[in-house]
Amino acid sequence: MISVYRSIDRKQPGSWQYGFAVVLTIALFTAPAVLSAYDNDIEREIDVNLTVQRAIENIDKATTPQEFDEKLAGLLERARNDRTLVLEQLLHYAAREDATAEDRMLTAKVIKEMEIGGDLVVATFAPHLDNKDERVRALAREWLVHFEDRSPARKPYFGHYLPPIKAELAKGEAPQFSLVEHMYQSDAGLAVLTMMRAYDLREPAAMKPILWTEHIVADLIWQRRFGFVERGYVDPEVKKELGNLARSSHWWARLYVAHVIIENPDFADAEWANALTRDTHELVRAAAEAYKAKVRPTNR
Amino acid sequence: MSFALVSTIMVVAMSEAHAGNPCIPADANCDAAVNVDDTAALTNLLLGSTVACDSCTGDLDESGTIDGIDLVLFVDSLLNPPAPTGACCTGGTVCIITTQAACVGAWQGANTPCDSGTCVAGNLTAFRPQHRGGGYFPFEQTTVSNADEDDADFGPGIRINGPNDLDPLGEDDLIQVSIQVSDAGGLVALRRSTGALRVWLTAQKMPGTEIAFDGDKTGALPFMPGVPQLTVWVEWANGPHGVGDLILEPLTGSLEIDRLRFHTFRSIVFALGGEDQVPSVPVNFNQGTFVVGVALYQLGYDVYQYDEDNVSANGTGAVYNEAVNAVANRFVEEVAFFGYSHGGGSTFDLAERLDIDRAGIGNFEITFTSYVDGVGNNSDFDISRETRRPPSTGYHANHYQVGSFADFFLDGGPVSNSRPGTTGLNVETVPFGAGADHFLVDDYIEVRTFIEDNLLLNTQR
Repeated sequence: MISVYRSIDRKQPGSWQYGFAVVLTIALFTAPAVLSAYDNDIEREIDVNLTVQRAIENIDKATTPQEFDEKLAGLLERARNDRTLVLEQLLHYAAREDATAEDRMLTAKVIKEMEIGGDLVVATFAPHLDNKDERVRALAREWLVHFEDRSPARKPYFGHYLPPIKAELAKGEAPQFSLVEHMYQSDAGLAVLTMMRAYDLREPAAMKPILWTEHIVADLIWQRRFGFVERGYVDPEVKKELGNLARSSHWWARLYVAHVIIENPDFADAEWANALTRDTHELVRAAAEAYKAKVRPTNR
Repeated sequence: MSFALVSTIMVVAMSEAHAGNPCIPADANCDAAVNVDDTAALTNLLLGSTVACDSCTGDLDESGTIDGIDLVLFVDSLLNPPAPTGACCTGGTVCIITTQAACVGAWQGANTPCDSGTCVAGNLTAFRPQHRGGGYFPFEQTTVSNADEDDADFGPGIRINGPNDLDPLGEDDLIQVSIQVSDAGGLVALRRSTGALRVWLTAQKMPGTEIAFDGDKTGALPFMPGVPQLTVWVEWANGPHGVGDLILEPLTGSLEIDRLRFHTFRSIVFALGGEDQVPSVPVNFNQGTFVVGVALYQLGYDVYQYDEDNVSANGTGAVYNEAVNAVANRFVEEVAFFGYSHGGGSTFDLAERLDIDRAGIGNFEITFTSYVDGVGNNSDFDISRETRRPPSTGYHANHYQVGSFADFFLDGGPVSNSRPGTTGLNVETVPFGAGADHFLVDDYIEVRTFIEDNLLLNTQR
């Protein structure tokens, strides 16, 4: 969370803002990660803690089993006092330019030994989807995927994403866009249902169009996957309902439509697909542009 | 002397000459043909009113004089004309002049001479299949050896290039064949044993570059002047499966100069590396999985080498798409794959996905799978042992070691109903694997050979 403070400080250098930043810094250091305000406009960094980095490196360099256990125990002891700090340092260690697969496996081993749940890992690593360093972003994304517990036999698990998103919304803030984007890229259908819960949509009449569209889209994909219809078949009702949802007042519902047509360009209707590229929400616009880029060669 | 004898003498005389203008006794006017036009000239020779135009002219019985017997023989040859002679290619560049009936080889037509380019020696060289939109990466361009090229198993494999086959990166299903001939001016053609084989001058099947067959034989192949080499691209244009020959022949006649025997691929093989193992050319010999992949490619399998991250945790991704396309659009019946470390986890994920999705893919069997120190691959940070048997596999091989601090306790483990034994082999229990760790276990030749041998036994090409 140090990086949040640093970024705010950099953006708001005035004296009163500096005082505010100090207060915020204290708040950030004392509050659980999930309660910190999320700013979608800043890039994050990990402040390197050389002591912890050396502790990790020493495990790596152990030459006997006893030394390995001893060094690992030392780091785990440190982690008991500040799990977020150690998690972030592990992320940094794994993302170093010269880090190897073995280094990443070591950090995975340490995190496994820390015996922590997905909520903490997501809360710690999700903000680093906005890290300045692409390698850190990629590894943060990989850790989120790890705790989605993906499998060919079932949907991924997005339960760890709900608390940080709801926390932002409860404060009247926008959710972390990069996390939202990650969810939609992972599973757009599950993402829109998760967002519906995060936004606390409870009125059945408001919920049903979203539920119905997600259902018939998923059903068509299922029918294609298992050969009940030709792979190129598109149910006209799917296009119609996606078109209706493309005009939803909820940006996250429109974002769902944009991601569905990225994955299934033949579900799109040019009129509303083009309208999404002019959407008021930046994520929707970006996704609609990605769709357009995907279909452009075939339109020539 | 019978005409047959005359004819034989004439052939022998011309055979010795091989080329040029051999002396024909009945060709009294020396125009290289024996016909009524020679009558007047022979009459003049009998009357002594003219001089023979060649040393043997008119002396059909080879008596040294021209007399009535020669006239009788001449009339006989007009009434019972000898079979015409011409160049006869008997193999390589060897050319003799003989009749069509006597030609053991490719007879080039009446009165054709044995010139330098009449009989052409040649060679067909086929290559193993292309990948990823053309080119050979992640393999080196690999020739099919002369010893293997006409073998139905070890010879050139070819994908059925069905009309729905997906090649998102570009056409890559044609097999490169190099044609070398002894003389660029020589006229050679290709014969095919099945109409499924088509031949192109471009790998991407550019319009206007197909070499047409008239029946099962092409016209003269279009060698550039002075360039005795031509590259063509062979396509198996549609189902069903089969074996088909492509034969290099002289344009005229049916002498086989060289032959390739293509087999359609009934299987597809995937090799999945471990974390951070990326297929390379030349292959990295510390990446045993890809070493096995190269060996199988050289043995005539349709092998694809992948970074294991091309199988996502839910089994989808580039590898799954390739398998589905192969089964659904290229009539592939068998899928085999194997992986090391996270590639083992990806092997499980791919098998589970393919098994779940069978109804939408088509008929196929997973004939062979293998883990080497399989580690689950829910993510790059997954360090759990992969000990689940890949769903629906016909044969599963499993090799593992027991992790220690030196490899951060990364290891695989026993998998039920796996070979060798009943749960696979802990290589640390046998001499070759003493002191193994996670980073070494995929490189043992014993492990690689076991995978290779048992894939061969359980998966057709």
